[in-house]
Amino acid sequence: MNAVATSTKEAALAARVTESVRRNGALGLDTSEALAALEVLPYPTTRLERWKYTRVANLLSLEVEDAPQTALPTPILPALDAHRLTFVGGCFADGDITDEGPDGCFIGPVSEAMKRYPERVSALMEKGFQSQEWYAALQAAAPQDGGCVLVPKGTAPKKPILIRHFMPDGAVAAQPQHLLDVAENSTAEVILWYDCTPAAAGLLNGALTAHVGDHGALSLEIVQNEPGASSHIGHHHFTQGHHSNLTVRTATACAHWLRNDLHIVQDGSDASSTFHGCYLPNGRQFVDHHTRIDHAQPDGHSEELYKGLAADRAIGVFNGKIMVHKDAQRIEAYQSNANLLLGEQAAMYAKPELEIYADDVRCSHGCTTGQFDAEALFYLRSRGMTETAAHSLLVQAFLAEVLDGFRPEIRACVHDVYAQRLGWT
Amino acid sequence: MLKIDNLHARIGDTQILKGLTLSMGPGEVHAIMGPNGSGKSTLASILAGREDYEVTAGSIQFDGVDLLALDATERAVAGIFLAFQYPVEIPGVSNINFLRSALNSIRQQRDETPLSGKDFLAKVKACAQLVELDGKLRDRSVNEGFSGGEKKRNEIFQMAMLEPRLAVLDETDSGLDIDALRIVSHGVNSMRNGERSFLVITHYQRLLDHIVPDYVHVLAGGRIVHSGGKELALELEEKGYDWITDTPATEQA
Amino acid sequence: MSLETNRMSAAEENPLLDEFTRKEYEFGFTTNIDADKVPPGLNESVVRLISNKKNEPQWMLDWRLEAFRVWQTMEEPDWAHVEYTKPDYQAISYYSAPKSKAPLGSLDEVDPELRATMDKLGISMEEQKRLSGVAVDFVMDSVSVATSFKDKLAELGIIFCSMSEAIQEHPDLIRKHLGTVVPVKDNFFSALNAAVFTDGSFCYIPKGSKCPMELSTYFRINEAGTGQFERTLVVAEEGSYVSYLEGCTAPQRDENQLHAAVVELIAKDDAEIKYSTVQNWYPGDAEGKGGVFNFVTKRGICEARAKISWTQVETGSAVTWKYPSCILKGDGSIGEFYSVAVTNNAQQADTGTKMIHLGANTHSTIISKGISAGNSQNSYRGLVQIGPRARNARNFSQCDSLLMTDTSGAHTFPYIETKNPTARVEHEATTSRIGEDQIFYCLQRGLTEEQAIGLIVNGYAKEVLNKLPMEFAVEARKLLTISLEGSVG
Repeated sequence: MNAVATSTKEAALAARVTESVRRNGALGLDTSEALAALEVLPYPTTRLERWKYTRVANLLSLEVEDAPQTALPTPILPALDAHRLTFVGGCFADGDITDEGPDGCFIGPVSEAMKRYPERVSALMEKGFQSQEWYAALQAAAPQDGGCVLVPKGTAPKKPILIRHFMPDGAVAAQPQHLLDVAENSTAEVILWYDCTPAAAGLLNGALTAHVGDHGALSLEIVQNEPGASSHIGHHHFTQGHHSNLTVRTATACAHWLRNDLHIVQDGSDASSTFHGCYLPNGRQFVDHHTRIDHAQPDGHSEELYKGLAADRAIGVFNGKIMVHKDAQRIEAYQSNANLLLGEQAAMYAKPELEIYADDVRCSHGCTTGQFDAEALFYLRSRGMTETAAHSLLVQAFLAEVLDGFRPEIRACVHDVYAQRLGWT
Repeated sequence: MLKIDNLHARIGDTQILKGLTLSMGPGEVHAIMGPNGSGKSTLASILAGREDYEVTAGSIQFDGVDLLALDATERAVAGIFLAFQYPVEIPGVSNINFLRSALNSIRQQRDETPLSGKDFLAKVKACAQLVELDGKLRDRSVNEGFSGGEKKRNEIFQMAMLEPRLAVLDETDSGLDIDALRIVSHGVNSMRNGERSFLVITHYQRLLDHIVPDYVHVLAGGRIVHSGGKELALELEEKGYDWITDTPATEQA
Repeated sequence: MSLETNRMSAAEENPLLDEFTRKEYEFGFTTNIDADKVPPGLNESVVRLISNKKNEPQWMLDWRLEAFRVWQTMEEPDWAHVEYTKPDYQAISYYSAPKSKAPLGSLDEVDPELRATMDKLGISMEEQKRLSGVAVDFVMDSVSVATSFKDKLAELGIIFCSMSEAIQEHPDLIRKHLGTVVPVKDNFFSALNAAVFTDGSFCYIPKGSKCPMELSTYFRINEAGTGQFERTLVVAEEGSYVSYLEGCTAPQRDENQLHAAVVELIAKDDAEIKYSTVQNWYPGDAEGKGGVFNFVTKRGICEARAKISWTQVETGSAVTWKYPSCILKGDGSIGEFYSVAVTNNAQQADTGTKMIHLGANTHSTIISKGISAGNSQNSYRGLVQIGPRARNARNFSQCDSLLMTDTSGAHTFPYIETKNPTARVEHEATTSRIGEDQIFYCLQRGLTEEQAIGLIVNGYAKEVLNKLPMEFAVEARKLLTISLEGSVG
């Protein structure tokens, strides 16, 4: 592709997106750094190592539409008792704000948090780090409203917090910015739910910046249930303090085209990070999970498990990087990635990476790609199951290791989506 | 043969041995008992030359030589053997290969000729029989996949092969069932002669039914607080350690 | 990460380490022989000169010129984990042939200086002959010196000679196979090699023939500023077998020396090629100055049920970029890669393998053991690619890294691309270091620290070392121990 042509197309796309987003409603944050970065960072092409298997060129021709008027979507997980915040196309649409004062919990949209507690918001934004990705810079150049959860020292909200982002019909561009801050000795449970209308065909380019303070714990469940034709690029960044605990579970229930970046930095010693994910693209879907954990301090522990299946002509990509910095001694980092192909024309690309600069470490990764055990399949069929039923059972068994970690309401919902998409009875 | 005098030692900032004094003559079997944390394993590690520990005062003479001036390899050459409490695994290095390298290394450092293949194998056969170590275990990688009992028997097998002057057995009985205990003890007892001495470190008296000591010492708070004959072990079994540690410390005779 | 600070403190803390890095490279010497040396620079006339000096037929010259033109359009690759000063291609001389007084009929007629060189290498021809009848094709700089056992092999129809000779004596075979596995356009270094290669080995095993001895070649880079561009081609016809050994040494030099070889292996139906390399290039001093740059393209194609195994022990070379690969074209074919790569001081290695599964029921095995010491960076980069027609393909990869110091790095970048649902790929990687407990255990049993490290490292690399032909295995074990002396940090 002609370099000059690309850069004008990039600039044009950036302009269309940022202008539309600002018209729909953007946060009033200082975006000068991001705009400068957009000029300098390369647009992702398959020649860039990190985008080797992920084609983003077609996004350059996205004709962005402004967000239409949309009615509130039907609530999800109705049985779950949680603080709920709903965003549509990057704008706050519904939810009860919890505000316990400058030293208390805040649960509400970032826009409100910025009005009431600008210092708390900017302190948290500073903890987020500079991504070298063009799309992250685009998001930061015109960030929109998202969920903001600020938990002060030594507290824990009594209910989980459900932040939902819903994409409306049409080729809408949305760039929500979610912020989570769990201070020292606090805990929080958050669910980040992405969904859309079946006629959604735009670009969701969202970011999450989260910080877990010393001795804090954050449990985050991310669900992507997007049946439309929209493209979703996610930037999820986490920093952890000393002796903190972070668990992130990501279930891609349905996505047309997804690139999910998950980046964890252990900034304090003795931190623990667990991150699991599952994905099941079918049809002509494309799902790409890129994860990275930086063990920057000693005595850290991390455990990663991602399991995926690709059916029909779908493509799955997994890239997990474990980076152990020099002097980050006594790290234990384990990564496991298992992939199954269910179609002659499906493809899986996996790249588990280890970059180790300290020597007193125990790191390992395992990656397998395969198929169902023929014995197991035969056994089930010999007990009277149809091939489809047997397959569906085995798929569920395969994904169970990851799905069982979710709360039951989410597990059931994701299961139903898979069942429907793959025609399980 | 072994004279430990007023030994003080620490690891990091923690002082563990606080004036340990002990003498052993050739051919003697001394048992060291004591509550957990008293410094038993520290003593074993220091005798073997582990550099994590810092000797802050006192001396150790072995056959008239200043032992603290020798490094771990030199001490092995001088005839000290440590049967580890937790023998480490060395993947890819067969037991046989390991022992032959060790044996010949020691012989070379003593200016002796290395053992011929034939002699070495004959020795292996004899020593293996002593601890009922079968052929398969001998050819496996050092301690890899060995059960607790097999590891301890392997330690005694190595001891038999290397024929030390002073053998330090660090809680050799921990984790052993009655059969393994019997085999290990038989191995040790077969190696007893008028020249070779044993320092048997143990928490429980049970081992000392099989390896009957000449002297029993109680190590508590980093020093030897009481010494006696083999009956002392039975007394400790009955009364526990509090009985000793509550009474004023007594020097070893 | 400041290399300067790390090095200073390493020298202060560890006199053993310091002593090692000052130790003279064992094979650091030069042969004082008149060398017929072409002035530095690369242009069309140099290419013509090389071809002319070797008396090559027109088709060979044409091939070189075409390659040169292709090379001019290409750009040197840029790799994330390897930093080096790019060689100045115009400052290298591309041809150096030692002058010899008479044509070489047998070893006895070889120039005494050359013979002395061979003796100094420590793997003298005599020793080889005595040991096991290994036929040796010794390449001194750019000209092959002597070939022994040629007659014996000829009886079986086996051809084993220098590439230069093969171009003259077996042009049909060369024309048929050269560049079919590594095309000129494949990469920057393969194009360069195709233009200026001066020699290498050619090996041809006819149908059904099992080569009774291991075939071996030794290389040396002698002249300052002479790159080494060998070209090797091994063709094993249906049902044949050959085991090929390659081992290298190089003298001490200040300028970096470039080694850009190309090795092509062709295994026809049911044939088997074993290719083993023990490499001991000059690694550069503690500052990384003066070592050999090793950019090699090695690839093999397997037809139905054929098997190619690459086994290598690498120590040395300042910068290594090398991915021996197998294209498993035929159904049921097998590819294997066994490697131990040691990096020390300031060495950088970015190596690995590519297993391309095209046919059905193809199998590949990758066992890679990296050892990083000093301030080195050791990266494994492997690709396992399962094509859409590779039904029931199987791959197993085990990539382990052993870190000897806290200033070295070990990295693993495996690419796993699967397009067939019946394939099974398993990849595992672990990173660990030599445990102090393991070393202490050995010390307490009377081993010295050097012996302990040698034993543990060889145990770690055992799975790979066992794949080497015996004579090589002995040299390899010694090499591993020597290359890691004083390296525990």
